Amino acid sequence: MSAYPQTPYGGSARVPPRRIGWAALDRDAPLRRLDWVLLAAVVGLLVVGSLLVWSATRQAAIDSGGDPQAYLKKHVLNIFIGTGLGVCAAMFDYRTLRMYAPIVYGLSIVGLLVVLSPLGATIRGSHSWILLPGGFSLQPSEFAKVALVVGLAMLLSEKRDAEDSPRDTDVLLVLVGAAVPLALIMLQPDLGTALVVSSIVIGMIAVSGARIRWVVGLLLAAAVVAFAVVQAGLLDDYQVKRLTAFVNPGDDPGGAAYNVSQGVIAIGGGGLDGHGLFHGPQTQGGFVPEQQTDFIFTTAGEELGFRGGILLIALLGLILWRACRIAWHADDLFGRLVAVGVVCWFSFQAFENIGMTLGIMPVTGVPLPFVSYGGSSMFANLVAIGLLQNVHVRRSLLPD
Amino acid sequence: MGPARTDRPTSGARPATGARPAGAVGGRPTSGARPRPVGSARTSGYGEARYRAPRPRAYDAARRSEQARRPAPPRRPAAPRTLTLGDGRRRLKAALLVLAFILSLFAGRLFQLQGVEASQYAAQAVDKRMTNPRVLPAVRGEILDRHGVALATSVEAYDVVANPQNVEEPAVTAKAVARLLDLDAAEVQADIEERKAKGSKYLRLKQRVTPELRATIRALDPTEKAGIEFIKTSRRTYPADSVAANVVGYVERDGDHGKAGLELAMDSTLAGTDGKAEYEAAKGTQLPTGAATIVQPVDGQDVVTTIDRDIQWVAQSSIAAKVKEAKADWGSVVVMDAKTGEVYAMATAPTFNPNTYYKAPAAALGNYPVSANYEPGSTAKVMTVAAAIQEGKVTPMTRLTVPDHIGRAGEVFHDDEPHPTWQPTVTGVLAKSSNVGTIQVAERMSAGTLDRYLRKFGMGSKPGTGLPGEENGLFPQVKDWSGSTRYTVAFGQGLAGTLLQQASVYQTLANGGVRVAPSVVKATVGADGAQSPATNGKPTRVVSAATAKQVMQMMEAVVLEGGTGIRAAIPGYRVAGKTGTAQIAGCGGYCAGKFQASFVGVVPADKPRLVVAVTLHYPKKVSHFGGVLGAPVFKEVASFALQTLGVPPTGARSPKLNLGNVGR
Repeated sequence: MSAYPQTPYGGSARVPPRRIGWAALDRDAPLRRLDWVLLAAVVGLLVVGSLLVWSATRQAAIDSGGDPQAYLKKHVLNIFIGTGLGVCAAMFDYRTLRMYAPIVYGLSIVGLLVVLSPLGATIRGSHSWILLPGGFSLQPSEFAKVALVVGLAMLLSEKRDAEDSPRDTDVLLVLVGAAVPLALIMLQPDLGTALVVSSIVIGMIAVSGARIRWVVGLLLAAAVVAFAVVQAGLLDDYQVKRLTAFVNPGDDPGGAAYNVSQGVIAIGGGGLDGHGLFHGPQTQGGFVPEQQTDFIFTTAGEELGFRGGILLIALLGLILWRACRIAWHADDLFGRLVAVGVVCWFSFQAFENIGMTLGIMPVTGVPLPFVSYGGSSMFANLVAIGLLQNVHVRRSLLPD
Repeated sequence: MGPARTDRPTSGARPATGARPAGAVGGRPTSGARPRPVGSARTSGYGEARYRAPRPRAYDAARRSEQARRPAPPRRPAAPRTLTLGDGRRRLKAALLVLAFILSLFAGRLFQLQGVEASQYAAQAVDKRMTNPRVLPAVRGEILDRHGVALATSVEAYDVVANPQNVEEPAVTAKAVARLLDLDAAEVQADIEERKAKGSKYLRLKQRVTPELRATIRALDPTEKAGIEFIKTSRRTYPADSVAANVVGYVERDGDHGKAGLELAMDSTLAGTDGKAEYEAAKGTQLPTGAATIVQPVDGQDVVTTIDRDIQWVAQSSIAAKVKEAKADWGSVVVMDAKTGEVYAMATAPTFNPNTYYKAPAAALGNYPVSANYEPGSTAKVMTVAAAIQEGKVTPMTRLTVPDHIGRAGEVFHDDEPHPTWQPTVTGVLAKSSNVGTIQVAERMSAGTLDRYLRKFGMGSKPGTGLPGEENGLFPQVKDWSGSTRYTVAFGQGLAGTLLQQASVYQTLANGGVRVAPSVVKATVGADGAQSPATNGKPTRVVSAATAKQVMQMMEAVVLEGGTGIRAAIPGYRVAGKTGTAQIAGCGGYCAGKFQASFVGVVPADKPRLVVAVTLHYPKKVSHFGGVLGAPVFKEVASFALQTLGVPPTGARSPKLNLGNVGR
């Protein structure tokens, strides 16, 4: 500081030539403009999530004579790859991305089509995966969420002269554009992702400024479709079972409701303080199926207790709040809609995931953002954070 | 831009207060008015200028620095507030509220689960995971020979059970497992399905399989082995197979308890105390952090026997060969320590393999040396002679006049073979095993005196080894004796006993007249390695040392030239012994042509170490004489035992005793 003359207001004067090192710390430098609170919340979730994935998979690996840290290592690797992708997503101006939105959208449709081709693989009843050599697998529907957010934002913000809100034709176009991936996802079938996509669509249309009747109409339609689908038996048996198990957990204690009841027992058994990491009897005993992925919250509840559960909910809430704030302050409708799309995506997944482990939502398989094990989901989530930061860094003038 | 640079930090924040210096350059006169961008370099059409939402106070500062670097955006006319855009932001606000509401709902539900209902779920969780109380089997103690070689031991084994609830495909599992366990697949499948439907978590498939078989089952496909669990237990094996089988006995095939021999006699010592476990488990494995009630098992104690495995083996093979050769019903050998009464070997033919006892005929399972009563015949004569000497009625050199038959109590008693009237010494009577001579010796004592001595020698009472089925013999009370009994018991008929009892008689004489109850168990060893010696009966003096010594010398004559037991002679060692050829009772008196052929001897005679008793029941070939059948077995077994125990020859020679005039 003393090397530079002092201004009357106490800030250091910008006297050239400046060192590059200082440039990075400039008030307006992109690094300073990042939403660090959002990043801190994400990092917090990633750290806790890694520990939970480790704990949920360690004992089973020990029992089967495998590497107790195998899942942890892959999880951390996923985080690093995802961070790299997220940094890429944050680097170039999102307004440029807008130009590429049709390409991104097209690629995602191709990915979803590949899944339905013989290249796709079925895991746990869903034909949602593309198996790669080396034991890796990709889930194109996760990347489709990103593409959809970008694509819909482009369509909704593509306004004509002198019009501030999307026209009805735009909304219709959006619905058509969303219907294609939605249909492909339902063909897998992956009900959870389909619901996430639907929530993204409705949320983005709502915030785009489209007429309120669209919003109400879509919500009504969603309700009617949901009811009709269940009634008409369009869903596979396992999907209906999982959904209704939520209503009557006693019906089928060995089947779908087993997950829920074991999960609720695990969380309830954790109490306020939890059993401690690696010490949850339900977790270490392998009682809760899919615990490192969809039921990861039960590990938090059992081993970290109420405090851990609240911490996770608070961190997710923090992320949602910061994302809303980014949407609020976004310079343009495209940026705002991207942020809103991410908010809808994260919030629906968080609510659905935590809600089903708490026994207050029906069971559909969606991962808990930043916490659940799973490469594609982790990549997509971190890319979404990259997009949020992209919008945030490039806002015009905003308070820090 | 001027205004930003000259504003005080606070002035922008509180324009309404008018605290700004009057001369401030570019100070905005319209206090409270928002700064408007003048000329924007950016292209986005929906910039901040269009929004009318209030901005935080810090905004101005940031804005100023922004404007410092950039050309000011063009001032635009304030756009009329559009309902739709306002709706978008309002909807965003509403959405944020909804999010916050749902999140707090979740927090509430979480608190309900973990704060309010936690104890209920915790109990439910423990309850769900708690296993049924399970027995932790105590490891059964080993049965060892006197040198610690295992005769019976328990090895790791596993009970294979199914938890039908965890079996995914009963048909697949049943097929895979039944093949390995040698069970019927259809039956197993039916059982699994039945129990699965009933909600049972337990189905026993097979007991006590080897660790190797367990490994094979565990290597099956996940679906095949789903629900299959293993309970660690142990399986009894007898590494020496038939060696000492009749003494050691066996454990019931599908159980934990001894059914015969020492396994039965020492069952409570060997068995230990089972423990109990009730704990939280997942997939059959105890949860490391779960609740548990565990009573650890107390393992059984080892039993150290007095058996020497090598001597036992030789005794068994020797008697087995002789039983086969002579086509006898059965035969037995007892090898006993002359001083301590410890049994080195207790052999029986036929015998069995305790590992597969259930395949053996019942006749092979008995421990005849303790359980078979027979009329000992001539081997019992030493008691009569010892009693008479002890009572001072005869000396070894007392001359008698012995015809080949004698009438007493209305009956005629014969010697084995017809002979002209002899004038033998008492030694000669023993050497020639004359019944008539023995009657004459016995006549010199009252019936009560003879009875007393016989009982002191152990007739009519259990030897006290504790082995199951131990007989005390058939020896009527003296008041119940018939007229002839006092004559018949003198030469070993009219009373019955076991081979062990006969061996005990010779042990008494070899031990200077002091009887030590025979024993098979030397000690028990606890889990801590502490040995507790077995308690044996108090030694009792039967005859004086001098009497014992005299009888021992007389018995040496039996094995010398002119005696009946010459085949028992062991080169280099002095041997004392007595042959016995008894009629077998039954058939409404004595069975014609059925004999009990025995030989009981002591070696070395001058410094006794071993008593070896041999008997064969009903030999049908070769001979029926104890001197012919029993003596060679004695020689073989005793020779080996002397070598094994490292007993040196004493170097002395048997005294040439005067047998008197016994012909030839």
